[in-house]
Amino acid sequence: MKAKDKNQDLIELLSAYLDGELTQAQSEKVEKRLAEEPQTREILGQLQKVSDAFRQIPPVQAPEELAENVMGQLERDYLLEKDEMLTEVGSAKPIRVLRYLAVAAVIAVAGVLATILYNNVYRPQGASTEMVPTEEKPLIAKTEHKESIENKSAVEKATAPVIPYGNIQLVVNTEKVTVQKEQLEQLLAEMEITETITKDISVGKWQCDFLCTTDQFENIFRTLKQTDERVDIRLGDEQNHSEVTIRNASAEQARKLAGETNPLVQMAYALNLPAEQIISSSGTEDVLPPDWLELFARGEPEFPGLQPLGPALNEVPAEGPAQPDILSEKVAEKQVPDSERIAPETPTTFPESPVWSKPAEKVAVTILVQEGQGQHQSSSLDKLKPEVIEDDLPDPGIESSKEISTATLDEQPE
Amino acid sequence: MVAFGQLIEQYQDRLFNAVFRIVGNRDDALELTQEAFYRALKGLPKFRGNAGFFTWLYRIGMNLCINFHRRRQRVQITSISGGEDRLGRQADTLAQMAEAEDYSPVQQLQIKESHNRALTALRQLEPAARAVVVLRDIEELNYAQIAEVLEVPVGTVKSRLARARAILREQLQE
Repeated sequence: MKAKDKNQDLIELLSAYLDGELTQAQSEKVEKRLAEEPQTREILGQLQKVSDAFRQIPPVQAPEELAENVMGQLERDYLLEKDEMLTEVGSAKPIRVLRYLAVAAVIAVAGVLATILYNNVYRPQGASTEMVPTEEKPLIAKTEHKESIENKSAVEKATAPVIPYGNIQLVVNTEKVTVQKEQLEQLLAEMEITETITKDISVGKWQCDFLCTTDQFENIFRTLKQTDERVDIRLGDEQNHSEVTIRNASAEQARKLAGETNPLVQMAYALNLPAEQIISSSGTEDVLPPDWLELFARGEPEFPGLQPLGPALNEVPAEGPAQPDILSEKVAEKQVPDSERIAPETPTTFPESPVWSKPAEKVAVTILVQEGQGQHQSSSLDKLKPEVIEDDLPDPGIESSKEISTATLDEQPE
Repeated sequence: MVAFGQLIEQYQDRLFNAVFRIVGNRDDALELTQEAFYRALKGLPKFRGNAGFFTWLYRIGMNLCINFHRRRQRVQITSISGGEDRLGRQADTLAQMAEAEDYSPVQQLQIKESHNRALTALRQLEPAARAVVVLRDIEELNYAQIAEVLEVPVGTVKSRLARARAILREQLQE
């Protein structure tokens, strides 16, 4: 028994030696024994053979259907969860709570993914994996929440956001929009987007959730804008009970702004940043203020648990075209006479950005369509903080600004 | 979705290989690997990033394998032939791979025999010991990484691996 224990001790020592898991001193002792004891050498040789027997077995590749099955299951779960949320129509509040919880979860997922991708995909050196981001210099512009924009210059072009389990609401204002339910349904049908969850959420309001590729998302966006370039499209920011109204903006401008104000898109944005600009918000979803990305980009203040994995966004030296500072532009913009603020024929130039150049993937989209004419019926999904409208709608001469103001002031976040 | 896809693409072969070696059956391995990815990605909000995603994913995968074997042991206590069938299919897969690499027929037989013996010996081990061997000798993780995946002290990894190798040494010597 004792001899057996001793032998086991020796095997444990040799096994660890074989794996390079001993200290220098321990290794030297083992080597001394190996030099002196043939039996020890024999055991080591046998252990080596055991180890080699497994190392020589060639690896097998995962079946092709594996990834597809996992992604399919995740998508089905997502749609089911969305469906469950949408069926909770007893009152607006439970839906809202569920939606915020879902958004919080999404943000947490996105934050974690940012970290994971930083650690596993984008880390430039010393990482165990070698994937490299496509190109670089994304457009992280510091942006102000709760504002409307028009005629922004130097706002970069960004393709449709890639959002893991996100949803985007396009709330189309009644008075101006000509895209109606039937039109959207036709659009979806043309794109062969058949898996939709539709819901009449209130009088004259119809919501449609669906998954689509980023290309399809762009097409929908373009179609909405082409129907009426002056259409006001609000991209929901559910977490803050606020939304951003994009006034007379081009589709590119709208997308860009969405990319800066919607937390989901912000995180998706972060996922596409070069390694030095990745931010992790893992574990911070409970403590961060809604505009954390903007504040963090400015380097103030420090949030507990927020981990900068690189320099603050505004400290990263830009290569090529200067990073636009939307906040500064906004200040300057307010000093421009209204007469000069009408959208020019070619309103903006959009430097090409590689940020969204990834292959199309599915995004989850929620579209809210307002039907009919008349008084806007606001819902919990359709909110805008009052100060946004009062302060930031710069051009009262545009009819739709009044409409939006009216529409969005009739129900405030609780 | 892009991010999820990237993560799956990045780790699917490694995890599937490890799971396949432990459970010894392609269909079971596929099911367990899918389940591991599904749980890992669904559980991302709980994941705090202290350990790498790889460790998180492997931990889920290894736990699934160990629990799977516990269930199987209870259910298939009389199904010895079933186990042989699975092992045979695994060995066939290996033989196919050997053929694909232009080995001579004699070499193919030797390779098949060698792999078969190793895998047969591996299957004699307890699932937890099997996992340590797979993580070390097939996945080539170091002791600290194995300890993190299996959530045991490094010392436990060291002793468990030594015991497993002692058994395998005897089996492969016979």
